[in-house]
Amino acid sequence: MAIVSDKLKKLLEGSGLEYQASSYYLRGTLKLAGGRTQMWFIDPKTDSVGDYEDHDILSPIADLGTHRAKVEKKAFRLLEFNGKRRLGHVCVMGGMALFKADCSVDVSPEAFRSVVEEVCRVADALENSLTEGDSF
Amino acid sequence: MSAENDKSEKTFKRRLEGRLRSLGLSWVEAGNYLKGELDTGEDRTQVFLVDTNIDQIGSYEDHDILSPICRVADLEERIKAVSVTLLELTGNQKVGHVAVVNGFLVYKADCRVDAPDDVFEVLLKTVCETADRLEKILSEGLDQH
Repeated sequence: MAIVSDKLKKLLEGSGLEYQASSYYLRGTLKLAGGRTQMWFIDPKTDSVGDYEDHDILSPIADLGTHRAKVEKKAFRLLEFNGKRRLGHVCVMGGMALFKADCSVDVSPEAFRSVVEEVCRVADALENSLTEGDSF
Repeated sequence: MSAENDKSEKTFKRRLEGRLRSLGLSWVEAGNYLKGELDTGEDRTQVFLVDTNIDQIGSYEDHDILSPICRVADLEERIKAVSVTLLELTGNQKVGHVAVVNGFLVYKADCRVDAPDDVFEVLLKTVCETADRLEKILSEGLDQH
């Protein structure tokens, strides 16, 4: 089971986000407008740069196994999308297109929740536009 | 823009200028950016742009640090052919991501507004070194940015 630091535990509890821990990730689902849902994942391993610690917050957009052609067709547009984003970016990891943002552990629970919600909203909109589905 | 916002943006810009100065870097103002060059070794340099505008999501605040890899128009077909690979590279990096900004392919990272100086330095160097490495690969050794 994933080991969760005290700082991250406090952020999750304070933000009111319900989650389950698996071997590598913490996972939850947010309900969005229009009856849609969106999964989020948090890597419990901390990334450190100097004294600065953050966590990756991820939300899936499309499985390349199923939607590779669609992602390839739009990949350049997704790089342009990355350039316009104020927070987070599209990337591909483990055969999955994801929206991902880094969030420091030294933020308030409200700010942490804002980032998770924003990641889910953006990933869901991209999923809807790319695959016309709601698999995640 | 309120007087308070204007004051806080000026304060933030001065803080960024102080950070660049303490790293021994010079810069010019280019719109909302502070633009300069970093030595990336092996006689190569890399342009950096530090955004003085603060991005805000809820109460989370950061700003962009970016470095140009190449002009999209110069290598458009090559970039389009490797766009998924660039997204994969982005997924594998601990810091930053590839993006297209104003007709340039860039490497870009978000730096929290209250990040300490050493973090700003690491992010700036990582962005420049990664952009330079990608420029070298995509443009077959040229060092235009």
